Amino acid sequence: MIDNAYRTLGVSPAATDDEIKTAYRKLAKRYHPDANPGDEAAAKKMAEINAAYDEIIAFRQGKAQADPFSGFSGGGSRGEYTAVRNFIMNRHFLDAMNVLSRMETKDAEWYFLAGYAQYGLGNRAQALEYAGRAVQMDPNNAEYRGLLNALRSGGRVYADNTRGYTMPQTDGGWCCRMIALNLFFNLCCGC
Amino acid sequence: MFGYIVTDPAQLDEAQRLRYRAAYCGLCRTLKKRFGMRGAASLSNDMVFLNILLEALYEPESAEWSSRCVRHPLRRRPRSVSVLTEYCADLSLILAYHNAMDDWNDDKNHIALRYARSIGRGAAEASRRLPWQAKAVADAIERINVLERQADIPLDAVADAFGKMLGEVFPPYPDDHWAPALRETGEALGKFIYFMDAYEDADRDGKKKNYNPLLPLKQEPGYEEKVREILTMFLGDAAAAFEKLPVVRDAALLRNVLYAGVWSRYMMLQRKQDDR
Repeated sequence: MIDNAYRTLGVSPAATDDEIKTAYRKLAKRYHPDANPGDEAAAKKMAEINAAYDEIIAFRQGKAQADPFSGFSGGGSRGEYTAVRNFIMNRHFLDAMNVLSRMETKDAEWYFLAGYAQYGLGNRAQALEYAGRAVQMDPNNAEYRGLLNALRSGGRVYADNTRGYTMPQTDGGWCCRMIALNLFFNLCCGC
Repeated sequence: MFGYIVTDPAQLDEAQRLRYRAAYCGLCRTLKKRFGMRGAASLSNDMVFLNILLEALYEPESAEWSSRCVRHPLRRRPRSVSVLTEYCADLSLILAYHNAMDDWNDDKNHIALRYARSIGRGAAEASRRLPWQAKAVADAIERINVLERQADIPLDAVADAFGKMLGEVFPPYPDDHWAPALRETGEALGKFIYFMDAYEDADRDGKKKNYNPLLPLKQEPGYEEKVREILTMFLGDAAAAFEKLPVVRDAALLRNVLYAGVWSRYMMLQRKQDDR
């Protein structure tokens, strides 16, 4: 499947991301509906090109990032946690949080499950915070480590490939000059 | 908006510097032409970034010329303007207006109110041209105000609302093939901006008893590492979403912002702390 995508774009599987993008743009210029109004064959080709590009990008990004949900299992240690795990497996994250929030003691498993539920709800910073606590409280638990690593994987991908750029050493007088420029205009407002 | 989405000039080459300046000046000129000097005051690096990103993605026809202006009266500077610059200009005004009104409502800031009034008509005009985006901004600000008054909300709740707002305004063509990836980029950058602002203002917000999601974390060990991790996570999301887009032209310039420039203020704050 993925080989077809590379073939559609006319690139080799070893092509860099930028080469893929360049190839896409070249084809898109030729087959774009704006350049070929009313041409059904061109429209069909454009859809194929879009699909091929999306497939390659998804494939390449999917390889790099871990999916936090891939390792989740339903077996819980306490009765109440079984219910929470079931909710999470069925993607009822709010229900899971409701059950969790009624519990008095927050052990490592509480934080782990809360982390999963928050991730499911899209609260990634909260998920990271909870997962971190779970691992802190029970460092030897592979399940908890798995969630933390998966949540961190996007950041790791980013940090591992900064495209040749390094951390800025200066704030850049530029930045301050721009703020000063805005202030200048603001002050002039009154006159 | 907050000045975090900037370049790192030290890592720009001359051509990139000129391109950034042309986009910046082009946006400024468009704002001035449409909305006067007060409109020009709503200019932000965030919108310059969006301008460059959208032009790189859609490659619209652009007009390029050199001219003088109030701030640079001696030398002609290159400017570049396209239909997407006009889009960013309208957005700048809508955002500036709602931010100013929000400042007035929150702190009774009279300067903010005067500024909001001075650009009110322009913002209304811009909102008529971009009704979908104007509504998204207004709704988000209202949602943020409601959330900030609630107790016990997740760390991300307000950042998420702010992010969603930016996400909604990133795509100029909401039904376009690239709208979802643009939305993701905007959303992740919005969350980064919100947390970066929370990090910078944590002490001040603590004293003034303003809402700040990082305050509970600040009390505990490992605060600095946690903040760094949160910021990196959202930048990772933003960069990944950006890399989904078939951007070739100006890619290096945009990456300068996403992989280096965005850390400028953070690094400066670290250096300040080390000095202490």
